[in-house]
Amino acid sequence: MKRFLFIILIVLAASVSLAAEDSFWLNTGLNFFPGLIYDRNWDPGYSSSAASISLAAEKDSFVFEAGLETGYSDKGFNLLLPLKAGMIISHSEKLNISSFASVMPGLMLNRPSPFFLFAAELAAKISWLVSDDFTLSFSIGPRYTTSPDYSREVAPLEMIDLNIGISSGFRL
Amino acid sequence: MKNNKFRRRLYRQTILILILSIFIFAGCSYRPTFSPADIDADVTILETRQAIEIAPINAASSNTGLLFYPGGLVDSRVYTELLADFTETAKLITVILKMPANLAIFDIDAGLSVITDYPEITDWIIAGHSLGGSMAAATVSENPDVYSGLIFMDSYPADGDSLKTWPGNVLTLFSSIEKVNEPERMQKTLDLIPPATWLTDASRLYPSADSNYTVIHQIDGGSHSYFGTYGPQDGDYTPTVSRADFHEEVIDYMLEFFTENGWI
Repeated sequence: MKRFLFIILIVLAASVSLAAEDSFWLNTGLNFFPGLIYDRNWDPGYSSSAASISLAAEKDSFVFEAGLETGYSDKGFNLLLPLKAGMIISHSEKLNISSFASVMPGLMLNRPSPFFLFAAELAAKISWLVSDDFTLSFSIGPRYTTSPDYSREVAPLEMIDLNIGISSGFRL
Repeated sequence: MKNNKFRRRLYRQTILILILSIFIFAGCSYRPTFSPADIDADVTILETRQAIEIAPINAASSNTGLLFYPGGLVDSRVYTELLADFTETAKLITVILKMPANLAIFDIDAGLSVITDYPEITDWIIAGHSLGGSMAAATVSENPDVYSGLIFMDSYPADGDSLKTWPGNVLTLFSSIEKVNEPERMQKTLDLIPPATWLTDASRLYPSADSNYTVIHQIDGGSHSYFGTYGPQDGDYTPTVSRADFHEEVIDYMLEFFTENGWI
């Protein structure tokens, strides 16, 4: 639990630093995870789904994002705190292409106590600038998820999924 | 002006996140209180994305399979201890299904896609604990020709899923002091299942095989979570017997049900 509180502090600190930027976006999205590797074995199939909300700030060609993602898998519901850093690779009047790297500490929501969960992801994102204040985006990339505690106490939990995301962004 | 707009949006989103978080935390699943790797039954346990398969070691292949629907918001692995012991003795294949978010209501017919992987099995007996039992009854109601028997564990069918005329036989096991599903509610659903006969340790006389039937047995001193290896579950009473003794009685009545029906 101490580890999780520490992570929350990092996320809050990241959010405060985002607030120092000039251009903010509030992003809400849905993520779908077709799975490739399940518990260290090649086992394709649908893995899970999630909903996310995040605050993003743009500075020159760089984008920083912090937020919350809630989803489910065959092991129950989970909660992740994504921290993303990205770079806009290509920019035109209506389209942005960017790439992101993310780390996502979080929790598997179990009783009587949760398990620590961790995910890392690389993604490419295409954003359509519908207006100056609104974007629609599509992203895709591999995500690695593990829970060392669950793996040690119950059964191996290591997955590689493909994250297919759709999201909308509102300029704040 | 822009700052006010920003604050308003931020407050709205924060409230939304808090509400969502409350719902999510209410949906915490019970975790196993053991590791399936520690099971010492003479079985192999193979876990895939869809299910956990338990198979006896050094046993002739059986034409009977047990398909298990886990209870709501319970990690499916909590049932491996009980079902590994059953599988070892019954010498058949047992498949515990995994459910999205551990809620069988999201994939009621999950069993249909799994049983196609076992073409050698001709008799599928479906079982479920709590919500899993109700969803098992729902899939039997929709696919009556697929399953030969049904086992409820602290469970009963939902109102719309009458199995009164279903040709298969039913075993209902419930823990005497469980509060979560309330035995009184189970009693009220007797008109949804084939005609019932109560079995006790003193009288274990099965009905004649001329027509479909339900046999019901109450296990004294057990709690709702005793069907798995987890808990205690919120709202449950304190059990007065050990989990090992409870499991032994569950397995005993399951074996008898399988034997009476000629499945093992």
